[in-house]
Amino acid sequence: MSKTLLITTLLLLCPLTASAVEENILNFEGSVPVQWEIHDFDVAKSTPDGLLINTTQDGYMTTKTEFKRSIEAIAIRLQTNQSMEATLIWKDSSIAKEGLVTFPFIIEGSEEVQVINIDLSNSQFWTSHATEFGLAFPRGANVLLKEMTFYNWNVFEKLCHGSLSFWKFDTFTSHSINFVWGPWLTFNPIARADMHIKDPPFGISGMWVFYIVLAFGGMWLLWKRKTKGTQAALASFLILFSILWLVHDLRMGSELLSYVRNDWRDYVTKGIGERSFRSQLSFPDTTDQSMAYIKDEPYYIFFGPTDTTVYFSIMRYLTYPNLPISDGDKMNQAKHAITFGRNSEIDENGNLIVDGEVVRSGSGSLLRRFNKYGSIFQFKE
Amino acid sequence: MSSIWIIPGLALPTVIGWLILRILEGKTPVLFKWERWIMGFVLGLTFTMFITFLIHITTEMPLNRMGYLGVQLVLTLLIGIVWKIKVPSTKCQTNILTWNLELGTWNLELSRPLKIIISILLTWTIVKILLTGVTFLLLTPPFLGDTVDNWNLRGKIFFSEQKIVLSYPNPKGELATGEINTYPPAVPMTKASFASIAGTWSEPLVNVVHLLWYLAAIALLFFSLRRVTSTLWSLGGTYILASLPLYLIHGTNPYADVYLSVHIFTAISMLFHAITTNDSSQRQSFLRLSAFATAILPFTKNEALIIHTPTILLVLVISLLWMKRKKTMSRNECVQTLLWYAGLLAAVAIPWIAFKWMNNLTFGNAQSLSGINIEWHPGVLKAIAINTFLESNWLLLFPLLIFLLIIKKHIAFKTPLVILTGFFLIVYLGQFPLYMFTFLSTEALYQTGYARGLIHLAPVVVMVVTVLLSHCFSHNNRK
Repeated sequence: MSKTLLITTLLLLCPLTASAVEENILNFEGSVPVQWEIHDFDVAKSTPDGLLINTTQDGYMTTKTEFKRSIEAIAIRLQTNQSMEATLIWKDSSIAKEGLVTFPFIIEGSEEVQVINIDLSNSQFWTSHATEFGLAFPRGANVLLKEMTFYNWNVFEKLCHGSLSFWKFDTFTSHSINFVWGPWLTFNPIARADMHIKDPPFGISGMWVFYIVLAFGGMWLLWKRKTKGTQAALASFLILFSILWLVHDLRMGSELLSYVRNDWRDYVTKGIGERSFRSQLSFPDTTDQSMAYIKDEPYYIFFGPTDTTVYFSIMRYLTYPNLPISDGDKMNQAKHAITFGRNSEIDENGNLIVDGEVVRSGSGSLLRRFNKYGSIFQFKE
Repeated sequence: MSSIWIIPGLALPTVIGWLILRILEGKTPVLFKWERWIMGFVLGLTFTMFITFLIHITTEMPLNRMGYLGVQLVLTLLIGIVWKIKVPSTKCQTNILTWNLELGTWNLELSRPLKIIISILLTWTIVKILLTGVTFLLLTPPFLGDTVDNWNLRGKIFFSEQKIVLSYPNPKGELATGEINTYPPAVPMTKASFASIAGTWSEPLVNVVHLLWYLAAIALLFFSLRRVTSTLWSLGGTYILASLPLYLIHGTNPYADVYLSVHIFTAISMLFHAITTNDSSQRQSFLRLSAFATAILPFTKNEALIIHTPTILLVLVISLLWMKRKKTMSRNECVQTLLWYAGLLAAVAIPWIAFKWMNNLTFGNAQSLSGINIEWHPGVLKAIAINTFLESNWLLLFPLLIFLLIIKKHIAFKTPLVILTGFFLIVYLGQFPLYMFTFLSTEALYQTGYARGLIHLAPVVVMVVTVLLSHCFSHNNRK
């Protein structure tokens, strides 16, 4: 009887899950859907390919909204060859009677049509009750807006995506030696795709799943204690605990093994020139290939990415007793300079320019570029 | 293949450690056969580096192949002579010296599903440890800050300069003093000794020892548990420790926190076994072993000198007072024990502290403790709660510990297990004011230091948890 009930319930759930994501699409190709208010765009012209927007000052476009369902994410299909920070804007009178709430996002310039997915479910300011909604572009923007899609997922889909996000792994980063986030829960595929691009990740800790199961299990066993006895109830609770431990170990062990797989796939099995190592990308290739040039140099100039000193420390460690320098009197005595992840070039006078500043004057020349990020320069005097 | 040099690098220090442990056990050996070798590796290596350090700073003996091997050969010879004279020649007085783990019997006792579960978990754990260890330590380049700013960098400098160096090159290429030179040089010297014996600095060679320290921690926990629980529970506890993600990450990367954890565990677990046993001569053996392990602690990491060693001494004094009150130990035995601890500790701590003093090295963990401003730092407790309960660093270890401490409070606090429980709680809760009221709050807020404090204590916590769990399933002890 109970088996029949279970199967019937599952079959009843099928149409709900099969209904898939609910999409609300505004297509700008050929005509402009709904009424928009344009502010400070120089050009906002409807074309067969989409809405062409040109700005010489910061501008925005808004429309009155009345979302019928909760909006969890937005996809914007557009074309622009400019990289810029654009902004989603909406009106929420519970936050501010006047003005608009802003949600910046990055557009990477490309000749191709691109789709930018934006998760709103993890924004503490987003509301589907917004009375106005729109887009803002910075001055100088030249964008062809093609389509906006508003997504809503039903509760079963959210559960499904939550389960998938539980098993989505982080990567081995510099913080992994201090902490690992572990399972994390987001409830739509757009949030899941980007959940680890920031710390802490988007969503909520998946540890709550364990605690909720333990709480229910504990309560059930407390209730059963009278019939089963305290010792048996305690043993059952600890067995439940053990099962959750095993699941958790499987989850985290798999994550650690995914670090191993990434290292083998991107570094161990690749040859020099093709290797990429975690967040440091081709830095090991740069260090390996520059060793031959600096092996007899007591000092050499080194500039790594600006946001961390670990690259400098790695160079100091790898080349000791030959020392990297980035400052001080010895700079102009160094015969070689290595840069990684910095805009570096030799100007017409032979000076080494890093991020627009002269860091070493003299008769320098580019010796070799190792890859997209690394360069080595040589100085004759 | 350069990592093969680890074998000659470890051989004599391990033999030295084994001999010292055997001498300390005296007429009553209490360690399992393999436990003595593994503990000998851990303590012998650190002890050998300490003696090398002492000879180097007093005689300016160069830290090269001859220097390291010379000290090791002389130490082996001298300690070997003492061992020959002091230790009775009878092979094994009790079968405790043998591999008496009842592995033969559990084949008969365990059900088939349980055997399958154990086999799967064993395979899973070995695969995890081997793949992460080999990949992160042997096959990939240095990646993490403290590896290249401290442990490996200092080792390479000691190796290159053939001496202890206390200043490091800054971005101007000038030598500058920094906070990392305040750390004891045991780990960098260990790496430098391997490289000196091999004749070259090689990443796999100087890194592989971290995996060995990790495996030693797991193995020593197993042997320690085996003394107070069944083989099955010992395997269970070992699995728990091996399954902790952050402990595995530390065990498979060139950081020194697992190294410290295994030293702490050895010191406090030997004290625990001393108080647990009813046999007076076994107790004295355990206490001497604990005294030696405690004495080594100040030379491992700064935290050990200012946090763990004082706490172990506090727990020791309370334990001795309790044993004296119970009339389990006589006044003479208590005094003798205190003298062992004081004598051995003084032999290590006094030269090391004097060296620090003479070189103006601070006593904090890479941070000076002087001039601390006391003020409330909001957000610390929330950060601690997140790291402990809402991240997967420890799986479900701490919720389980809290649950077990509540339902088995009698076992946790009113039996000798209180030595481990008390040690953990004093060290753990004792750090809270530092995080809440001093500049060290950043260690918790940014999660840079808090979890490392728990790495140091992980084997102790797992031991407590496993013993309490075994009592939950024991029909004889329902308290």
